[in-house]
Amino acid sequence: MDDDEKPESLTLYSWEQDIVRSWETLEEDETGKIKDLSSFERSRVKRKRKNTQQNVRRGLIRFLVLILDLSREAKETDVKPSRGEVCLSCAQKFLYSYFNENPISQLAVVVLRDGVAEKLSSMGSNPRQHSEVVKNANQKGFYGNCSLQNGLDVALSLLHSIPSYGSREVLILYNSISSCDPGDIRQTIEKLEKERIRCNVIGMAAELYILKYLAARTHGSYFVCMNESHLLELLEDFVVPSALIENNTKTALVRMGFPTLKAYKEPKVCLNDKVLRNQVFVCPRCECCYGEIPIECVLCGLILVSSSQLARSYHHLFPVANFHELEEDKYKQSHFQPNYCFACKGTFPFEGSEYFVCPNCQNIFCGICDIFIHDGLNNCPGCEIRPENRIASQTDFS
Amino acid sequence: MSSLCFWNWEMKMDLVGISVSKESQQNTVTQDSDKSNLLCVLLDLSPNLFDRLDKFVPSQSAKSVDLIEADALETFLLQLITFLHVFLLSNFANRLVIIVYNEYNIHVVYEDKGLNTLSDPSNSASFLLTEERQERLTRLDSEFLKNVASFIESYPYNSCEENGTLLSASLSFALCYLHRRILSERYEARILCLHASSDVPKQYIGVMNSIFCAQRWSILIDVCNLHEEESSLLQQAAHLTGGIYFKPKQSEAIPLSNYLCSLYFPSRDARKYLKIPVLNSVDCSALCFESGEKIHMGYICSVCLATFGRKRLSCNICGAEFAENDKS
Ligand SMILES: [Zn+2]
Ligand SMILES: [Zn+2]
Ligand SMILES: [Zn+2]
Ligand SMILES: [Zn+2]
Repeated sequence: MDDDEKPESLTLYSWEQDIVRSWETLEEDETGKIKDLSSFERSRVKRKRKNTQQNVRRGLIRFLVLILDLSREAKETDVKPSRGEVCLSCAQKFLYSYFNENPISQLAVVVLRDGVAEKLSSMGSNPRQHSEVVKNANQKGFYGNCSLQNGLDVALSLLHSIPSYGSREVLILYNSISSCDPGDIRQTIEKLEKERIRCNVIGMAAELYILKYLAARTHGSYFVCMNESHLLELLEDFVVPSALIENNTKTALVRMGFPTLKAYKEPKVCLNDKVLRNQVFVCPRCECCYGEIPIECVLCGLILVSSSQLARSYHHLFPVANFHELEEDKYKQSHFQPNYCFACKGTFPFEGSEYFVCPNCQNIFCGICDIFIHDGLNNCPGCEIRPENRIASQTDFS
Repeated sequence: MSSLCFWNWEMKMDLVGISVSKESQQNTVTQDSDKSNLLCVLLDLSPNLFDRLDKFVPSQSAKSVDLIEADALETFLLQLITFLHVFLLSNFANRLVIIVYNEYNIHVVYEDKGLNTLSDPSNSASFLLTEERQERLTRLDSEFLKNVASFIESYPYNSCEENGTLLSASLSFALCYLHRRILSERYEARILCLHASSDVPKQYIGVMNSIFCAQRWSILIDVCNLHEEESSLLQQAAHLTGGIYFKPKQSEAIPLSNYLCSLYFPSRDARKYLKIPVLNSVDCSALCFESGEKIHMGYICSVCLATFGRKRLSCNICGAEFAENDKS
């Protein structure tokens, strides 16, 4: 990310900023509707960053422990309404994107409060269940000391029994500037290192040596966030599965079942949450019924997933090649080029149009489609029509 | 052109198995004038469709084989046009784009520019609209039929089985097209896919990526499957995006336009009040990356999540090797 591209809000600490008037950045178009350009710009910046690390092996089956610091210092109000509230609301958004991007991965939530670490939810892949506990986590209030060691110990015990093919991670949102530990925290960190658990930390307060040390030893990363939007951006980076560290995980063939979703006249009981449903997933091995997947079959132990959940990760394996940007003069010189975008059929030049060419199928795309194809669609429409079949019939339509 | 009755879809509603539920009879479905629909029709024009046309159009007095085929295609297209007329007439602001595809290419055969009178608020006189509206329908009829004919002519008739029809490409195109329009204007975007070919394992990832993208932008994918087999890919497309998957029964002599108008015409909001056919089962089975066969139980590579029907020593997608003693 180039410095000049940073939106101004990211370059300042929240306490250094002027009053933020978000409504002043809104623009109206000629019909009086509000243009939302901010999200568009942001996705562009994001994509530039993502492109730097294509074609790496990633740990796609993830087991993550999310540790939230809700001790006394979460009451600090340097971010509004308070560090703890911001941290909880951002964590909730993170949960949804995490399961959206990694549907067959699992997650557990641990909070640090009053000197102890409390497990709020155990390893599971149901986003609703986790977000419910995170939402209600502030009801007890923010108080007491924060103990990093206790939190890491709970994470260790949660991650100890998971299969060796999973990528094991800890993500800590740390509000305090101290840690009140029962023993030597370095021993715990050593254990984490030995278990090959990657620890990532986002600090809400000043930088701490012990957190930096923890991240460095376990191949994780440590960031200090400046304000809420920066925190969200940092969390976004942990949604995408990270590159595998050599020898951190074992490769394995995992046996899984792909159940069929069946509709019944008489409702069936889901073996997991004991709710009656008309539409259930049926285990292909033992015919047990479940309302939601992924889940491990209670009766036969088969892991049930839907193939579409697996398919969500395939775009990491087969990413769309980066498009090259074409100079406008060059584009205009080559007059044989079509005068509209290959994908969206929008005529060039429209406002803010840039010219991008796909290295594989040589079709020309506009800037909007370039972002959309790499960020949302993950297919190049031109490459989907195989080049050998592309008869030169890109005739224009009226 | 409009010899097919516009209104008989209303009368035949229960023939198709749709009965209007109680709530909607009491409070007539409110027309949300703010949200107009942007419909993208994907039409499969591969030989697979021509082979099966006689199943969907009422049989006519047989003259010669060639004639029947040409007639059948025209009748089929007219039925589709009837539906499109209903769609355009129901709301002035509705917009339409038609994309056709076969094994070789994809082509936009009709793109609607919307009504000029709409963008000019001073021109509120409705008689102006009527005229322009009529013009719009005529343009649709002529342009659509002309472009479809030239599209069919420009490609060889013999089907090439191994390639399969370009479903994933046409979905990708449709999404790029819709995305660009809904960025700037407020539309409820939908895709109606009239598909007549079987699933192609090669296109699995492409179609799935399109489905997830449609899901994220809340674009409905409605499916009218004209092939004789159920399509697992399209079932998932409709299921995951909240659209309707329907496979017309061939035995019934109900014209296709009835199905189209009664099932696919209601907007997302209106569908809440209707009894829309639900799928008895959605096939979530995976495809074996090696053989392309459907599997209900199998193995996945922990590195790349590739699915295999049988145990193996290494993954042929990512090259990972599996230790012998690894158990499920
Ligand atoms: Zn089972
Ligand atoms: Zn474009
Ligand atoms: Zn391409
Ligand atoms: Zn693999």
